[in-house]
Amino acid sequence: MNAVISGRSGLALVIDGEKLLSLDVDDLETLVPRSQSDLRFLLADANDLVTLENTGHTDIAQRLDLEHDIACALDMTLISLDPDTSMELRAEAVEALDELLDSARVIERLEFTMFAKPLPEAADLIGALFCTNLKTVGARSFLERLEGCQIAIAAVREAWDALPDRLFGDDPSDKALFHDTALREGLFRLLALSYDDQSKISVFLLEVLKNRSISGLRNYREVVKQWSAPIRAAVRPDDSGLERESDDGYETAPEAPRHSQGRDKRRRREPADVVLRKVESQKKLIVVAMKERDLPRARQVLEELVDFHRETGRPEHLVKTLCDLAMEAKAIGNVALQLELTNRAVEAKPDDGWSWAQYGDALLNAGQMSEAEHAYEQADAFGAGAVAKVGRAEVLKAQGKLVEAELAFDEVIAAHPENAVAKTGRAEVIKAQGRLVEAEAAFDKVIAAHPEHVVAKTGRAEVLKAQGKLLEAERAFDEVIAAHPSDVVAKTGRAEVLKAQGKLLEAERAFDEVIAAHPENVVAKNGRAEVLKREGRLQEAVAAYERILNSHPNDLVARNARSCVLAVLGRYDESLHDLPTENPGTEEEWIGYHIRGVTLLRRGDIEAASQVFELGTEFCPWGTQAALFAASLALAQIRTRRYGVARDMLGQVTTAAIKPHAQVLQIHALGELKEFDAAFTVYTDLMANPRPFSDDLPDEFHSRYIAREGGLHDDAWVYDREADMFLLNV
Amino acid sequence: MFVRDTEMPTPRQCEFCNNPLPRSASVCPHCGQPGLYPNVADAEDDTERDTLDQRYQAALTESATRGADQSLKDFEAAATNSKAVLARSPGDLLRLANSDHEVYATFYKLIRAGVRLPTGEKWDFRRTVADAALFPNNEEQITFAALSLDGIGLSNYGSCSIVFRTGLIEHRTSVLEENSVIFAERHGVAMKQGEVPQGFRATWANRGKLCVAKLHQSIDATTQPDEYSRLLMCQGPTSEEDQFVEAHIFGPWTARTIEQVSVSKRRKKADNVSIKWLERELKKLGVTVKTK
Repeated sequence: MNAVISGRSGLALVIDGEKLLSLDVDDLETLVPRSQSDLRFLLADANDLVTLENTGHTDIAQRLDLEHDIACALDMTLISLDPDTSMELRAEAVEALDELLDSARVIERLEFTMFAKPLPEAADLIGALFCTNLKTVGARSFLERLEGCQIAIAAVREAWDALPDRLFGDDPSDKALFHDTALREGLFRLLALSYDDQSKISVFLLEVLKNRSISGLRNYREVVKQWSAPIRAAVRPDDSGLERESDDGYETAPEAPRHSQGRDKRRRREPADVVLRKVESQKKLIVVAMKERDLPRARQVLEELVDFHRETGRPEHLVKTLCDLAMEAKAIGNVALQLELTNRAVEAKPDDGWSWAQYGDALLNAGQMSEAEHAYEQADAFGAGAVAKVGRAEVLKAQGKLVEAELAFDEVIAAHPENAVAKTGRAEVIKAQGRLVEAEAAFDKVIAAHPEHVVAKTGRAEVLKAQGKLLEAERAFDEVIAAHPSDVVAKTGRAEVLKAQGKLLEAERAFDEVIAAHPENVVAKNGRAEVLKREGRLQEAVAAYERILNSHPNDLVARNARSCVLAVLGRYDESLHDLPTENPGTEEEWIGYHIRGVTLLRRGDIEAASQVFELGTEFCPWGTQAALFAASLALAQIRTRRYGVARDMLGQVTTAAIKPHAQVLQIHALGELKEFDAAFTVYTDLMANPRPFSDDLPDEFHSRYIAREGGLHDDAWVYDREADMFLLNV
Repeated sequence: MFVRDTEMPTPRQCEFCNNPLPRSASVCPHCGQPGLYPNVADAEDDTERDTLDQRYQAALTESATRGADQSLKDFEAAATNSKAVLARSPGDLLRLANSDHEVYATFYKLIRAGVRLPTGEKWDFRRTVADAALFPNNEEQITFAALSLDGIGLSNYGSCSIVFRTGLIEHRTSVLEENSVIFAERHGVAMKQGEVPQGFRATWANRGKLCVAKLHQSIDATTQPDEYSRLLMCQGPTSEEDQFVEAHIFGPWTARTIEQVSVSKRRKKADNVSIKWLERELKKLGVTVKTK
């Protein structure tokens, strides 16, 4: 077989005897029969052709894959250098580049091209370096090498350009032919690498002598001699003082662009790696200060960094830094700082879609829904694409407009079928509506299509938990943690499942481990305080919530939970002080509203409590919360001794997370109605399954209605425990 | 019955100096005035047009005998709104979209390897026959596309479908009833003598008529509009078995000539990053990008 390959087209044309075939890089197994008439469509414009002779399918496939990787590596490099491209996409390009650079041949061939000409002024090497991270060291190393060699590359190119045409032969195209061969054989790169190391000049000359492609060209000895002469005689920057500060305080730009592009600009410019290191180290300082809650220090370093960016970089670099720091602020739960940083990002570059999306996220976290909606609209208008549309859907979800949110996610998925975030968001909305089986199937589908999507995997585990499949949920979280050991959501999720199973000591230990590894994680801190609450260590729990609220004053989870404990302690006014009185919107607001109802009920204000529960049963869009309101309304009926109504209402509660609570109340209602057989059936089912509360109440009802030996406590005790079941154990 | 394969197209005259204008010329060799696009001039030739018209009228008459005349008219209306679509690899499109981008251009220019496709009698014979007869001396100027009603091209040539802006190509585009190489093979002897059978080419404006003349027997009274797309372009198991109407676009085109691009998700992460980048770049030029 013979073959002609274009890495850029991702196609090989294969000639097998009289047969003409093609091979596509997306399907390296299948040789597609071709006719000669196809030739003009297939590789007609390709300018990167490689020919192979007397070879086989496997070799052709491997070479095509390699050539395509080389073409892709060039594209990823150029995208990462493009200042007009969003930092988000540039970061994706860097990530893809890093994968491609696993191959030494790809690195070498990429350098053949990138070392053959200095970067044009439009190239943004600093921005590309900003897009690297700890996981993309290969790409970072390549970009740093590229930056470090720019002066050498420019000198080699200048020496080449200075060679007279006649040196190559009579035909003016001879120089171009020599150029292409020298580039293909890596001579530009080799000579550039010799620039700072004279000993490598001889390596370069030896390589030329033994390279048949070069030695077959006319006058090659003289060409190579003249080409390398200025490099051998080159004065190094260290000796020349080129980079020393001149009298006017400005540094001379590297000579590469000055010579090759005819520009003679002088500007303040530091090497990209120096800039990058400074920015990275200052970012680290800011993050440390943020984690230590030393906000004045964080702000001081931030201002220095902002000034440094303004002097050395472009607005997109500043924006990238601000957005990165905003993500760190979000990770430690400092929503106010996240908001401040993203707000500065949109001010620094008002046409940056990614910044607007980040700002939208911060506003969403801060509960500023209409502002978040506007920010996501802006993000969409400035080309943030799916991320903006997903953000808008998230806003709808947070507003409790779950049907609209589901439709919005559907729209994103229709336009971007591969968007895992949108698909996960949709599954979350389905879960929020209480359609748990459907939600589980939706998560399964996302995981099948995106096996690495950790959010979908933790989402699925949460759905299992919500369905009461606690052991399965625990196993699912264990699997996620095994595959993603640093995922804090999975770790807190697992601890929550342990708590839900009543394994409080294990849960406490699990939360402690998370807090030790992620001291800033507010979810873990809340979870741990929740365990104290469950264990009945109520004063300790209040103190824990106070500490959380000191460091995260806007954390509604902690605020609601503290109100629960205060209500159980009988401190009703303090409890009600922080709870919403009307118009709940977000899920946490509805949770708070439910706590208000239970607090009122525990205080004895049954009518006001019933109003809250009726409203929640009717209007709360979150499935689990709505079931809580319904079960609580049944409890209010029990308090007014309408046991038949309560029994019927409780029979309607099927949400797994609330089922044990409803069953306790059912036993109470059935017992009072003297339906003892039915009460026994419910009791045995309750005791056969895990339940998130102690057995005090079931024991009381067993004594009253199953054994019929009379109560162990009075009714007031029962009423308080029933309310506490909702306050402490949901 | 319509093939008058011994007749040559009527000789052209320069509209400015009235001297004879060679068939392949896009500029008058005598006065230097720009001429018509040669492929369009051939399709506008009186004999060519009359012969096509005869085929078209015969198609209408034949369909009326089967009660399919209204369906055929509907199909003609749809075909008259068809677009020229080209299928290419995403890599090719990426290169095109980058052509006026400084960073890209700098390094893309460097990778001209200069290796040419293998040539030789066996490889080039059929293509040479077709091109020499249809586009004497200007085959290099022709971009081959296909007519499409749904914006999707023949995937045998690449997973990326490029729809051209009609306003930027209609004046320089002609259409041929089928793949020009297959056409040349079908009419082999005549084509070798440089004589092109008549009635199988049309101007852009008359592409509906050509489609009717070609496909009238496939359309009956029950044919539904959603079937038109597959009738006009039918993907075969191999490219040689593809059925389509070929469009010949004379002269250059750029990313700005494109109206819409459809592109499939690919195997490698880098390819999908490129597609995202392409989507963003093309959107700047008002190009609609659909990802499949």
